[in-house]
Amino acid sequence: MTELLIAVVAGLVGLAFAGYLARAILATDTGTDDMRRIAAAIQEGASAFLYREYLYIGVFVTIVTIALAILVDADSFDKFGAAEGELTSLPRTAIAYVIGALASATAGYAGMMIAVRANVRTAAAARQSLNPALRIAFSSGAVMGITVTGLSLICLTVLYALFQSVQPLTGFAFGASSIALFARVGGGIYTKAADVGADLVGKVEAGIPEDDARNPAVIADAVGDNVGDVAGMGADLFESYTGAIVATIALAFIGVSGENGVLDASEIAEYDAEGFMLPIVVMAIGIFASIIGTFAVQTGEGAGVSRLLWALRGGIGVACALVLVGTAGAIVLMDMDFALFFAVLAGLITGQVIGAATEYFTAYEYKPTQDLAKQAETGPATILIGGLGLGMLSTAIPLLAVVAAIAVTYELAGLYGIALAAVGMLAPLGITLATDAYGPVADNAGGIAEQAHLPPEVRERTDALDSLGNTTAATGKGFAIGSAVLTALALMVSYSQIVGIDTFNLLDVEVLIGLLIGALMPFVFGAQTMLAVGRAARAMVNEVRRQFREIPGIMDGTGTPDYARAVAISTEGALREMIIPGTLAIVVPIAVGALIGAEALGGLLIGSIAAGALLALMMANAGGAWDNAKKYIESGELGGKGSEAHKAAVVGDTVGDPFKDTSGPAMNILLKLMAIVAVVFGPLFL
Amino acid sequence: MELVPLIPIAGVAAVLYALYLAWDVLRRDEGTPEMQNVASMIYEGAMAFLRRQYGTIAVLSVVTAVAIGLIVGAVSEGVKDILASGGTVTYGERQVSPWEEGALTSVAFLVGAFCSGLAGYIGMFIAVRSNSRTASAATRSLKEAITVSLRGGAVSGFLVVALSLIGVSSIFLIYSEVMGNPESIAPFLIVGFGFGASFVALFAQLGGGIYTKAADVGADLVGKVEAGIPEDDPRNAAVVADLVGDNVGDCAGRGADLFESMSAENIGAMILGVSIYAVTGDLEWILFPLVLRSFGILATIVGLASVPFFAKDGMRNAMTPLNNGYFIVSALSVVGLAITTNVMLGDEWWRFFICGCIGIATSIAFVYITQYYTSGGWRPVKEIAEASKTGPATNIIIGTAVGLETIAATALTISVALVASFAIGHEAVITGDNGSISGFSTGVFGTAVATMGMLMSAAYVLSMDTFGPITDNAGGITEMSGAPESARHITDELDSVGNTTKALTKGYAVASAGLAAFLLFTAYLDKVKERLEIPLNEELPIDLSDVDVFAGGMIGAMLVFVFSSLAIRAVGSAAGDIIEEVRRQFREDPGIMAGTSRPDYARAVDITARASLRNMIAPGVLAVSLPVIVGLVFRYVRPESDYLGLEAAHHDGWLAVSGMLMIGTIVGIMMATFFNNVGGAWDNAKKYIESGQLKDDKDGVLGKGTEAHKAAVVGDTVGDPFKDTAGPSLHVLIKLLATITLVMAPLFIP
Repeated sequence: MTELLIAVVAGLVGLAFAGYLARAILATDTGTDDMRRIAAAIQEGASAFLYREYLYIGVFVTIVTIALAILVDADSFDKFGAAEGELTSLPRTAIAYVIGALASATAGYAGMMIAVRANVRTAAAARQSLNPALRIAFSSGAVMGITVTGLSLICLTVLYALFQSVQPLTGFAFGASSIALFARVGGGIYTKAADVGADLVGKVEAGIPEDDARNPAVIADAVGDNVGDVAGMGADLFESYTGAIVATIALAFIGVSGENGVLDASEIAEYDAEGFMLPIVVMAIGIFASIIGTFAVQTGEGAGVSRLLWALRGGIGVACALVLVGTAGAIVLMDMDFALFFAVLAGLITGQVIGAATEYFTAYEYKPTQDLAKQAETGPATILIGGLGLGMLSTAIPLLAVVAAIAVTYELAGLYGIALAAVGMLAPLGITLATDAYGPVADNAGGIAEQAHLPPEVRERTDALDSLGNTTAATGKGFAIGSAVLTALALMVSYSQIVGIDTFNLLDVEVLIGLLIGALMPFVFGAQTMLAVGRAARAMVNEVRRQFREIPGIMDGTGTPDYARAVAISTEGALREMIIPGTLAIVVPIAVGALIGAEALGGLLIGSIAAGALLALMMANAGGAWDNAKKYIESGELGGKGSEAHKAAVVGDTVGDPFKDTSGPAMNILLKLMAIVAVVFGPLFL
Repeated sequence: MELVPLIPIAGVAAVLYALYLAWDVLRRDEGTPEMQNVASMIYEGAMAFLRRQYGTIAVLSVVTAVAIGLIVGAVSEGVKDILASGGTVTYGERQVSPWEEGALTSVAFLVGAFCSGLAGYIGMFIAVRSNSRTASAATRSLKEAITVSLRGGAVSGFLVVALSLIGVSSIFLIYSEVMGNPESIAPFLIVGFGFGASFVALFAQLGGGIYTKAADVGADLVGKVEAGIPEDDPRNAAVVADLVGDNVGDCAGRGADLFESMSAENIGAMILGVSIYAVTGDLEWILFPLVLRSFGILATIVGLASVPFFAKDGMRNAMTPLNNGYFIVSALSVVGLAITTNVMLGDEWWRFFICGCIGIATSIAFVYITQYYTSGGWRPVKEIAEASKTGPATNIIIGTAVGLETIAATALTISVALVASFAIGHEAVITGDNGSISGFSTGVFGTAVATMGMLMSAAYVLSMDTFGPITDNAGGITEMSGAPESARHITDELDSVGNTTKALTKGYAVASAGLAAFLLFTAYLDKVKERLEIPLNEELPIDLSDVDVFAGGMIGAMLVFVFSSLAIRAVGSAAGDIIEEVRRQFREDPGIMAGTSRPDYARAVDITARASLRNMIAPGVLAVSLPVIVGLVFRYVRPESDYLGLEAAHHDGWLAVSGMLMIGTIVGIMMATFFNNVGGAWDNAKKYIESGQLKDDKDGVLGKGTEAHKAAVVGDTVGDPFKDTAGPSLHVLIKLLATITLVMAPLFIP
């Protein structure tokens, strides 16, 4: 019980801290009237999109809730057997599902609401110097990071204490996954349709700079950063975080009986025994560590970009160190096998290795991206080929790191150890997400500065923050994929426990077919999301061209473009296009399980993890490298802005946009979602 | 056994027919002196490259052969006799000592490597002599041009198939009858032949693929983009290298690819036949694949001879005669299949006959799938062309999406064929003096029959494939020698047919790799069982949720990505060298642009050759060494623990390798499909625009020279290394994984 209390307290402290940060942000200066007007347009567009998106999701959530209540809780097909724990008369899985969906939506909403208010304040602060701007942008990221972790932990802990059984918790994770899928796919399509559309007509055809107020799609672009990169990413990591905890709790049984298991039978005797509590405790420690870590992000006045980067890294480093110390202490206090500590450590190290490898391949301080930029000199074709090659090559180190982590943790603590590694990787999420989520805020601030005609040095400062944000964002994506693989694998193992199949024999034709379909899913899903971006972007391009043609005086600044119309097009496009891929991700595993069998579903999960992880890594890294190759050229190398090389690099960047911000990240969710669907509905397929 | 004599008959017939075709092609008119001049430059360049490439491969092969001999000799326990009694297939006395096994395997490896090299060399020799003759024939008539180019291609096709058939059957004969070993163990001894073929194919395809695209991309970027001269313009120093590239990549590379497919899949099918043979005592089960392929050769001879009858001058679509010929081959293959299964495969032969028909049907299905996704008439290519209106970025985004989408049709077709042939084979009841065969074994044998059925038409498909570079070259020669406009028309028409046939061959190669995946995987497990002394008809489950299998699988999937990346990057790096050289020549000799002096083609050819050979080493070595490394690491790092409670099987290298093999194959097939189709679709989206079919809002034509066309050219260039380097190399990688694990299996088991 003590552990459960600690977790709730940690969550509440986190939420209080987030509230304090939010108040501090809102108290700062909002700049000139121009800036406020632009910011208001962004806020309005973002809220409108989120409102409509949640409406669509609401319909979906309602249907699934009813299905869960009938199929799982009421056990209409008599497959699930007697329910364990307390309150068994309630539709527990359905309740947990709804709460999971609501919590995830709330975290995303809160993060976005603060982000669309921090952007203008960051721009205002950037008029003085870099440091206050960083503080505001970073704080808004921290609000999001800590809200995500706090809300997830509180809800999970309370539900677990009430139900005293892990089975309903899978409903909670499923709820989080559902929101994440639609938020990521919808937000991803929105942001990239707007971005690609704005760039293609504005920069390439009309020859006006990025974020120029004359471009009708410019507000839609800024809204996109918030709904995709802030709300979408928040929901994504909320899901990872939740999934890792649930999978670990679910695997505690196998920690006793399975190969290499290090738990004692007494450690799973009660619902609140140590084996179940360890992941919750590690996460609680992570929240405290993240809060302390944010205080460590400090720089003196007039610090340069590299100092800022080190400040962010310092914060993460402090948080990681605290997580380790805390975990070691907790394991000793709870009198558990110390091998478990090494599993958490392995997870943390793997996360950092993946982050470092991602940074090496995508940051322009290093050779790979610089070489890529050189390939822009011979035109768009060569930089495209080079980027795809780089993306594929960059999968090697992260993948080997994950494989090594799996092998080592399995050796140390069995399957429970693998799940715990995912927990270790995600424990300091509060701060890692903060460094990730502040990027779009800085990006927006830059846009506002441009449109409000602030002096150029303001734009330079926000650009510095933005490019810093790109590096941390790329690191964050590698990290998200690594944790997704571990979580999905842990969920796959819990699925095999739930359905009671210990061998998914590859020589079984059903398993083989499942494996093939599973490996196919990421490709099909990638195709769907990219086609969606392409179509939505084309609609945007046509709209912007139409406005340039039909509204006189846009180009010379005497006419005002119809921003709202562009926002509406992006919104419509994203919502329409998110439905097919989203539904596919849920329907296919159920169909395979129901039509071919439980064995085939196991094959499907494995196939999707192997192919999905690689495709996601490749897309994220290729996109990041193209983006930074463009920035490298813009920094004055290889002819600088306006040269032929720059034009080629812009093409690469545009292709990379849906790679890194729509298809790639959505792939992580696909893996986890299909696994959680299998876990929730598993017994039905027997 | 009545049909067995057909094997040497078909082999000899194929060789004689190839010789006749070669004689027929060579006796024809070589064209004007200008044509001969260009053709001889291509010939010299291609042969010089091939000599140098084979020199490198020979060294690598000998080293590998010695290594195999030593490794197998040191770690193996020799080969035991395979006996059957009371329904189980058990092991008897040791028949072959470890060192003997090592020596036999490494000899088989060298023979396989040599045959593969020989087939590639002779095929190329004829192909580069057919091009000027095709160009010359094109000045006279379309019909004659088709006949010459297809016959030139067929020389290569028939030699590849014949050498594979003769090679596998004679080495089997020597290792069993001549050396006095039991027939049941001989298939395990000749696995080295398949590995040798894959090994050569890997480097031939990589080197050739890098060469062809480096030259193509290099020539285009400097010529079309920088200097503003048209394609195949004689002022471009890299133009001969480009034409040489068509031959070494599409012709020699693909020949080695299919040689290896046939050999590896044939040997795998023979291994599967062993357990049935052990029970029934009928050697037919082992020899069946060889006989079936003999019928395939005979069918192909008839089909190919029929093509000129379908060709008429002035016809609308030059693809029609080739398609008709293909249908004749397929129909005759069905007849051959019926005869072979009826005579050789016992009472329930009709089940296997249906399996074989499924294989043939799959190959025809792929013709349509490939055409749907890569030719101009259908939605995918149109969609890419439409996206080109908004610039290169959207062209690439939509193209990538379409490419990813094509994987679904391919994977689902292969799945259906696999499941259907497995299910039908599964029902076959085979009993013999020593008990009966499990449904699993007959099911896998069903997939083997499907694979062999599909491969019956290999010679024809390969002829159509080699037809591509010959016509492409003929076009280049026509352009460079200033032949009349009418000839250019004919070669253009043939060239576009050649593009389609090249795409078809790739689809065919992927489909056969997919169908064979299960069969080769089972063959690997049979080898493991033999080593672990688990009875052959007992199942050895491979548990996907086992950590070793999963970890191996992830690494296998990663190998596909990293290998493709190295191949693609190699093209970029080699193209860089060519661009440097062409720029240097333009700079140092201003007479080139003016047309008063000739560029130094030979130097460009030489630089391309050097660059591509240098760049083929890294991906090649990675592909060969990673499976071995994974097997060794897991063998030594994993502490001994029982696998699935089986006493005989521990967690060792073989388990991780099996995951790597299967998941690597699946992901490999998918990525290869993506690369092949996306490249083809981009290429044809460009052609779609060039032919004036893309319209703007007001129904005006957006043709050559517009922004949309420029965007489509970018897509085409990006697709080049995809479809001609990475994709085809992945076919080889997939089968190499299967053969290398088959040969190295003893190394992964203590």
